Amino acid sequence: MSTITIKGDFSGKTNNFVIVDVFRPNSLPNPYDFRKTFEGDFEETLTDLLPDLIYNIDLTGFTTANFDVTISGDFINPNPIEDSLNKAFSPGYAIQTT
Amino acid sequence: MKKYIIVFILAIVCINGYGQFTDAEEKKISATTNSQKTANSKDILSTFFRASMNNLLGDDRKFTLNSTLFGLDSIFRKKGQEISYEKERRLRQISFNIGLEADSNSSITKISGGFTFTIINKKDITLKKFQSVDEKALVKSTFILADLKKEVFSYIAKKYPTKSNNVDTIKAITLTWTTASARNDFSSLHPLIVEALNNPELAASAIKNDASLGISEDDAELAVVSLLNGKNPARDLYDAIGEKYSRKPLWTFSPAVAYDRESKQGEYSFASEFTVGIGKDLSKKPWEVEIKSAFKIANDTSVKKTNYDSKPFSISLGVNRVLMENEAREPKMEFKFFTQYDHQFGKVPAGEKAGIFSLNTTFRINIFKSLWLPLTVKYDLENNNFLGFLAVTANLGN
Repeated sequence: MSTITIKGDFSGKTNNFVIVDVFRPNSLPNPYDFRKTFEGDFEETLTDLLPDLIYNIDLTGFTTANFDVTISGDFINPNPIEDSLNKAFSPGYAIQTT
Repeated sequence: MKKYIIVFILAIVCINGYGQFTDAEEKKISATTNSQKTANSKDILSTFFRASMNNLLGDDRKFTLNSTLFGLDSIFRKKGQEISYEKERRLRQISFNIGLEADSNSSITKISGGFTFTIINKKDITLKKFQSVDEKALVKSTFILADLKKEVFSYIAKKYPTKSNNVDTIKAITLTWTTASARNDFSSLHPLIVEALNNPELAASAIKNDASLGISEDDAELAVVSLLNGKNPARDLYDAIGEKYSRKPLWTFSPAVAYDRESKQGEYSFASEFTVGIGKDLSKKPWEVEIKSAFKIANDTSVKKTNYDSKPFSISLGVNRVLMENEAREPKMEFKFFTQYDHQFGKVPAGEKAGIFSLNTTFRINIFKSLWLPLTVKYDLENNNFLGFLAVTANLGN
């Protein structure tokens, strides 16, 4: 099994919200669907990913301050993935696990 | 020449003082909130540091440095050390100021210090929680966008399984969405994303699990149309809410004390400022209404012995308007018109009136980043006099 950790830090104390989606579409072998919402800092570790597969990681949300995200774990470079977001954001990343 | 050197040195001290705590602290402040604040409202309550030099070309030059307690705390707080929401809110609502006045020979004549307490601040959405209706609307919009995005990739995987099993292809497709989100411009999405968005069944499939959130197929359809038109519906809603809050009232109270080196006695002043935006069209910058009042107890300089015979009071009512803003909707040029009444409750010099009405205009131009150049022209209605004041104001750290 492969493991990834998604860490999010909101620099502001209020008006924060993010939906974290980690998924593989149903039409592909070994579909996967994880979704969780957060309104503050978080660190989420997924340990049930399969190796050598492609997963989408989407972060959709808003903040009135700044939101820093780091994605690390068992996947090919670039690793870790880091981003800094603000206002209403909706970035996505694709990883291939190792 | 000496006066310009002193002004330059004071500016460098300010900028260096700000530089000690920037980087992570600077990013903490909402870009939206600060970008949509007018220079006028930043004059009332700064975010970190604000420095200003007034009456640069006159005889009584003034330099002031204003900081919130949050800005001061940021300097001494250990890097990475967090503070609670309540503590940050309290620190941001109180600021202090230090001022120096100099004469035409650039000799310091007065040293002053004071505080600004926030009575009402409904503008700052980095501190004030959204109203429930606004928060729910943003959350709903966020779910719609997240669901549409998942369904887009489901469509691509179903129709193009080979492409979906190539990590470089999926990364390239994903990158166009991420870039669009960062630029707030969805007009250059990957062709496969556009094809998915044009699928008439996409919206219904995307929201099939979100009935409990009150999301309808029509909501999703509208979001799809926005995306195909290059717009992010969640971001548009966020900007509209941010604009709404930037128009809410701000009211402060500022007591201060000064020491006059020439008369060797103190001065005591009390000021209050209130501002609120008016105008319902959120797509246009509003008119900002401002009410200011100030009262000072100081000495009558015509009398050599210690006295507190000068008690000037002023009240002004005016409107401020953003004339020009950049693509990020940050004000770049502002115009303020206000009427002011000054009244001397203390000893009135012979031949002068106790009260004067004047009409004033202030024109502000953003020179560079947080550096503003305000020019005030004052017209004394009673004596038909024009007076101009040139100042430089820098809101350091936005």
